[in-house]
Amino acid sequence: MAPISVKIKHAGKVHDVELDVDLPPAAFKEAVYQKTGVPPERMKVMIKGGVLKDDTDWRKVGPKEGQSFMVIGAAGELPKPPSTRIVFLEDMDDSELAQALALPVGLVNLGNTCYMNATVQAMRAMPELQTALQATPTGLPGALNGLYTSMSKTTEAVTPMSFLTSLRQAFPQFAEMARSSGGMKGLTGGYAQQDAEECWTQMTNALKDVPGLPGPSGSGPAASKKFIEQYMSGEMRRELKCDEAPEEPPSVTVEKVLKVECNIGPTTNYMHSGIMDALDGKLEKHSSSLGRDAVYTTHSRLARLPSYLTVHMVRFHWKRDILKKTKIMRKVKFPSEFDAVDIVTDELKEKLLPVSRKLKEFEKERAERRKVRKRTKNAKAEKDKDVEMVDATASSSSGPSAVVPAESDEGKGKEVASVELQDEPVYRENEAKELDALVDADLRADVGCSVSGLYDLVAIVTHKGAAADAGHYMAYVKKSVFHPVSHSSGTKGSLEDDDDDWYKFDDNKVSVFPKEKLATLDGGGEDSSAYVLLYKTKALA
Amino acid sequence: MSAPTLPIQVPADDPKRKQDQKETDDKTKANGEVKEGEDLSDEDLQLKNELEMLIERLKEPNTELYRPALETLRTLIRTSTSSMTSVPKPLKFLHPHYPELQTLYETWSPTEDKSLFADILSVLAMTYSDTQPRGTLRYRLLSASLLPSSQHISEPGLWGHEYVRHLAAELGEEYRVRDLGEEEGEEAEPVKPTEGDEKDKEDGEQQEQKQKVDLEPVGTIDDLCALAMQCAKFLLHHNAEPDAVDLLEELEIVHKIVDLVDDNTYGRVCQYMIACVNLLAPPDDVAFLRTAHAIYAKHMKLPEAMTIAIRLGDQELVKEDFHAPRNPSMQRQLAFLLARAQVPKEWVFPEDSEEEISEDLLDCLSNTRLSQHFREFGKELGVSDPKSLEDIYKSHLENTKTTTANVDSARANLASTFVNAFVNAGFGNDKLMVEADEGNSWIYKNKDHGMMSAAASLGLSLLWDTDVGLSHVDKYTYSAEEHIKAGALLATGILNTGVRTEADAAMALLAEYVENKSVSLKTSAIIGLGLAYSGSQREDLQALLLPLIADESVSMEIASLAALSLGFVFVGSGNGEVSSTILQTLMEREPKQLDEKWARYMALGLALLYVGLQDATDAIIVALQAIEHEAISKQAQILVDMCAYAGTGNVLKVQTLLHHCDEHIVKKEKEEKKDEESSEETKEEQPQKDDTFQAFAVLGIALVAMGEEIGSEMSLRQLNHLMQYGEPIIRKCVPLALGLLSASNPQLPILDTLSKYSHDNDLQVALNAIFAMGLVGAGTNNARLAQMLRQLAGYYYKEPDCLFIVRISQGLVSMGKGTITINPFFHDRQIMSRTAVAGLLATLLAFTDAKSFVLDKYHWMLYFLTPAMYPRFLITLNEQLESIPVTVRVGQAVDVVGQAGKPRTISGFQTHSTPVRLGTTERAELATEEFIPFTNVLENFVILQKNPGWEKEDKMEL
Repeated sequence: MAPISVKIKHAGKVHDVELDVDLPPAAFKEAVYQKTGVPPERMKVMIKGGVLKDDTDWRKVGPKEGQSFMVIGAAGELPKPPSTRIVFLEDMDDSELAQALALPVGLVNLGNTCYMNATVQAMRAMPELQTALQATPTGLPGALNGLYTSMSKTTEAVTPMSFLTSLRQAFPQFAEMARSSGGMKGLTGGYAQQDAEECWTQMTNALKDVPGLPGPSGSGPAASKKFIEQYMSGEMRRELKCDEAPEEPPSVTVEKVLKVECNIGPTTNYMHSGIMDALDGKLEKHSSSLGRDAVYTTHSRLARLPSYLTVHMVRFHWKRDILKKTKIMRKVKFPSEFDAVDIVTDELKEKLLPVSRKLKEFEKERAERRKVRKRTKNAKAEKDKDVEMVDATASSSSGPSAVVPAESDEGKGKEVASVELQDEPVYRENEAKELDALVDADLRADVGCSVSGLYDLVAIVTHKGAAADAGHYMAYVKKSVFHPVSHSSGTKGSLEDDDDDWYKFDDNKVSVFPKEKLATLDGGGEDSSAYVLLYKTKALA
Repeated sequence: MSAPTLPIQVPADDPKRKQDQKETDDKTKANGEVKEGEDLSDEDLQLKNELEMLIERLKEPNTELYRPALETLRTLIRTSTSSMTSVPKPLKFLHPHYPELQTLYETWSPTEDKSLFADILSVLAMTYSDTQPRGTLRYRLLSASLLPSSQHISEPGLWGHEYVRHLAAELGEEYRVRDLGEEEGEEAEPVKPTEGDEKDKEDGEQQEQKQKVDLEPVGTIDDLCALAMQCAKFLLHHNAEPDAVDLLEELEIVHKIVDLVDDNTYGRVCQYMIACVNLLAPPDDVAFLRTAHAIYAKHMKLPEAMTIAIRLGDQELVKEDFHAPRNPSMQRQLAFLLARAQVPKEWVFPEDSEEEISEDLLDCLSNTRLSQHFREFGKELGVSDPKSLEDIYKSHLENTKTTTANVDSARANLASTFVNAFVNAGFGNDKLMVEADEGNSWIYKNKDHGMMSAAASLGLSLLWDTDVGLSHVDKYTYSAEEHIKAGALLATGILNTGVRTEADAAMALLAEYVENKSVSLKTSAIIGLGLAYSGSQREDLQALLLPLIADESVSMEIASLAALSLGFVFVGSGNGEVSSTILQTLMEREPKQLDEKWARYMALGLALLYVGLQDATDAIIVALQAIEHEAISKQAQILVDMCAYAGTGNVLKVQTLLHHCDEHIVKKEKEEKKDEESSEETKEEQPQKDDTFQAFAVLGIALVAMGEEIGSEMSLRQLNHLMQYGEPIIRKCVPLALGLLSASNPQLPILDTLSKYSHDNDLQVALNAIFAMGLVGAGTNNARLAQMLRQLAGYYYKEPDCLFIVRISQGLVSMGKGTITINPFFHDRQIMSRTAVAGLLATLLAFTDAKSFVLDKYHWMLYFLTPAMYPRFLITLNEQLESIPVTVRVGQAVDVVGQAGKPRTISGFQTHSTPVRLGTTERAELATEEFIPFTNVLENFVILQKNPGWEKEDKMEL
């Protein structure tokens, strides 16, 4: 029998194929393969009542001239699974999860231990401390090290029992029982609430022996220094001058300080002014030259700025008239970026200024670049954007409003974009080099000091409540501390903006705290108000 | 049915006043007539005197004077002008004389004069309808009976409209009373549900009065019917079509209206009759539909007739209507309608007939071009580009920032799989699956059984595209991974949903896997077949799948899914073989097996066979009662019952279903028992009472009520009560019921309610509410809903289950990028798609126990929605079936049934050019006279014909 001409339909196309009824189906499949490229073994030809099989007899099918068959099958390779299996969130155990998510964990409150939890969390904002701690396996530092390690390995809240025990061992005052005079608490007799600032101070004291980190130049004199000395303590130069006897030479003392205090007076509105208030004061003391008590002016300035500057809001003070520790509720604004130039000695200022000026300049440029990048990205996105669905116009009402400014700027954005921005890392590298050249040699040698005097706020311990002995402590830590932004890749650099949010550590509860709400921690009410602030010096790159 | 009571009610008011008047008249009479005379004008006084004179004449023995006197009376009454508010003067003046005229009448010997006298009395009786009911009718009949057979009594219409209305009302009453009398005892009377107490009271009164008056019934039922026909004719000619229909309905001769209507009236009559259907108790509703169909068929309104034929599910009528037109375009138009309704092709072209079907017609019948048209439609609307997940989630607008993890969460990815599938359904160009880069397919971003759903999502993305889609899916059937292979099988089934191919690919590809050893391949093939051939009633599928149900060695899972699959295929067919096999299985399986969660699908499979069959289920329900396994027996009964009455708005069924939900006590005991169990004090003797049936009953309320607006509004209230007072199992189904009630129809009150439920303390309730929000907004792009869901995504970011469902709902809301609906009602919401109902029910059933189905590894059950998915477009075609742009007005549909004149059928319309998207409650009409559509309802595909009388002038002016 002569071959007949039939049609095949494959993937929406129609082809003409010769069909010889006497030949086995394989021959037909081969012919179809020539036309469609579907390998015969994966080809399915639809005939009446099913699929054409290799042993089907064409004569039984009885094809007619011009009849069309449907051919199913895909030409080309079969889809392959990816070479690496994807690991899913659900498959991971706790430590893997913690690693993958890098979500900080909370600490369980063991009965009025929020002061400790808050302090521990805030101190965690110093990654250098954790590195340094690894060298000390014993004592409180060892316990802290253990705690930090276990915290980084789980997603569940950690119970800091052993740390608490060693803390109470080291500082018995933290084991103080709640005074039963309150009557209410008398029955329970649990541990008393403590001052977080005191805890902070005591802990830093306890960490005094933690060895310092070696400087970048390798073994230097810095290696002999301790960590606290390097990263957390400043040098305070205090000048005492007698107002009533100008001829008396001012006495100068230099001492190491672990924190800068911020006095809150009846007129203090800003942290800056509070600090200045604390640095410059008057006091009455016995004057040797006058032979009587006289008014002296103290003029303190920092001669060394540490990498981590602790600011203590002096919110609690002992009221003599009522014999009680009370809290000052006053609202004091604190900056998220702090310029310490005003609180340093003139000599140090000289050394800092070149770097600080340049850094400020660069920051401005960075912001500029970021804006441009965003704009060009938006413009690009605008182009790629789907045509909005008709019904969806309302739903995207917030969308367009966000997009509109970008649109109006589109022209500008394109212009700037045409200038062709280089990758952010390139800029950063250049900047770092330039800044590095400006750094004073003395400061460079001093590991752990601030070379620019410019600080970013990284952690806050807040206190909530009206009374000094009660209330609740919480820690707020900047998100970027846990997820360091690397500028190594261009895409990540542009994400920098998004990392301005904070984590709120309320004992075992950890949540994201938007940057915009930081201002609510200024105080002025019974709600959480900043108590201890930890500033970190700005990185040069 | 409320309408018929009106004419009874209205006149009852008027005479009362007259009665008062009469009383005062009597009083004044005592004082002398002078006072009355004072109020009257000269003309009135003259009329009064004249009338009294005529009455005097009738009292006189001179019989010769009777006739002229009566005729003058008649003329006076007929010619008197009257307003709507006042009684005609002659009637008013004659009113006091009625009793004496009545006695006078009795004294007369039967003559033609007496007939005339009776006729006049009949009119006068209108003023005494409260004390002597049905007087008008009585005298009318008497008058007729007194006439010699050669003569005919004058048309009732001659006495005016009011008289006819009166007569019509009394006819209804009389018929009812006689009907009662024959049945002896009014208690036995089947009280029609909607008429309520009023009637009972009335009946009682009538009974009393009947005894008092003790009148012999005049005339036969046939006389009544004949009179009714006369009245109906009059009413029809005077724009009172509803009254005519009501009258005939009361006399149970509504079918006779077919001969009464003419070209001017049939449209409105049919409209009214169809609108009544939902409010009628069976079997009247079917009678109405059949009558309306007969009228349409008689007037060659075939699309309308076909609509009803499909609604009735009557194979013969469908076939008749389909072959009636000689115009091939009309036939294609009907074919489109049949395809939309998923009526099996064999209904119109029986397999044994050798008739050659033209290819075009076959294409129309089997929806072959649906995919092509849908994609063109998408292009016209500018939504053909694929949407990414972020376009749907818009997570930058979510309040809480979820942790920016770079890790793939299997759960989140699975949700994304469904979102991607639903959103890009039908366009075949999504980025994750179809157009994915080589080796980068989204499938591998899923875990284990997630891969199955991912592979199956291909089917949704390539929905209706049998040309390209099958080959694309075929690649995955060679996968070494069993889950992917199973998914590919399911995808093959999904993409064939609603379209039929000549090659019958789904059957050819899937049939062999039904016998496969692997459970997942087997279930996929079974479900795939069920979806692909839903509504097709294919015998070969029955042969393939029935053995699986009957074989007791087969696991419950497979047997139940096979039953469900057959339920899809034979939905609404009442197929006896399938039903008896399922029934047999339910009776014979081990109780332990019937306790399994899968049993509900077995029952649903059975129930789906009876969708829309109403009382044809009586036998099967009795059979179900005999099942020993109490829980499954009850579940199946409820499912069958509710499916049978799906979309009918039957109030009695809603009541029965509500009644099922009120069992509290048993449950409390059960809880106690549970406590006992937990404390292990005593081993329980009695098996726990299963409460699953209550879940189904809640769904049933929505299912029965959903077809009809008033009913669904009422059911909202009932559901609200259930939510407040119900047991947890009921509460968690209430949101689902709401979702079913308003699928793809996001009404604000429902959205608000669901939004409230979505924050419920019971996570199950919240979960179902979230899903219901997806159903309610499916394919609408509703902005408000999208915003709510985003808020929920933030709210539940720590609840993976809820978040999963939130994502899916987000996908549903943007289904087909806003071009696809899942509302089972189409064709101007007149026809309920049975396959859509089956799809929705199967999906909802998976959510009655979400934990063990959708949230477990059976998330592919979400694809049960596919049979309900259909584009909500209007595409206009020329007679060569090519799409042509035409301007149309699209607006909210307005109910114009029973309204006078030619009111606008849409409000707040906008003018578009086709193809155009239609909302669930929207309607379209042509904005140009250039074309004449072949169908009355502009929806789906509409073939247009050039208007031969159209002149281009209009355009010149522009």
